[in-house]
Amino acid sequence: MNSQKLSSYAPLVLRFTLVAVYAWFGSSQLMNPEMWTRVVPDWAITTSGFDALMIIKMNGVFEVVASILLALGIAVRYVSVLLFLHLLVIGGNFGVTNPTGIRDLGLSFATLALALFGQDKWSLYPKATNDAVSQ
Amino acid sequence: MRGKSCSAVREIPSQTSSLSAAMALTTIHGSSIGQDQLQDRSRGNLLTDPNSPSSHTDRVAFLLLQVTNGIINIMKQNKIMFAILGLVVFGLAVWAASMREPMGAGPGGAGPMGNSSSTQSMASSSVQTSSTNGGISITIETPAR
Repeated sequence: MNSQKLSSYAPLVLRFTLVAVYAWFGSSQLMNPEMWTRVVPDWAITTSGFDALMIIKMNGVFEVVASILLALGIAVRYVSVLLFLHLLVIGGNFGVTNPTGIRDLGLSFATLALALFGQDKWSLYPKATNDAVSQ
Repeated sequence: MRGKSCSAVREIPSQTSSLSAAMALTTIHGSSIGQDQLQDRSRGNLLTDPNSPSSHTDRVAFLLLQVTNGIINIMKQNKIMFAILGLVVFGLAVWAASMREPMGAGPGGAGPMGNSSSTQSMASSSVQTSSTNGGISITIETPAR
């Protein structure tokens, strides 16, 4: 197996890793939403008009749905862009002086990397078009 | 045209491997079915003689052949296989999340809505209260907030 063949698996590994991360947090927020309410920032409650519990549930649904789409390889680029922006806001809210904030920002930019790559050759839909995939 | 020729080429190893699997089974059972006979039987004569001494082996071999062919056909659909793999990853992550104790560590750690590590360690510490009542020991674990 040459290195070129190995590199074709890179976006797949990145995609599945992010699936695991978002599925874990999304499902945890749906299973135990009360546990997460204390990390909802005040501005999110005042801006949205929802209570913290509802925000956590909506966040959980979004992350679970997005991770299923990523797992299947459906609209990878669009889903990744949404997740990137989503996590960028959350990581930015924690701030760059907070270890969790730095970690979230790192994950968000890993998601951006997936968005920039787009469809890999194992994605279901739409068909991959970029040059790196066709090798 | 190119696609057709490729698929035709791909079918040869799959049939060979199916046949090999079936042959291995018949060998284990001590059957005297040769490769030519098995090929003939796989064309439709496999289950025609239920009174044959090797009919049970034939049935198992035929079933194995069908299952092997089915698996190989699914493997050819790589995208489907990897979509299933993605769903397996998703399922494992959900299972791992469900394994987490609802009370205790709190939403510490990495992730979209994660808490700071200092909060996590604070929330992890708990107060244990033990009492003995009529020989029954009761331990109450209260997570510190």
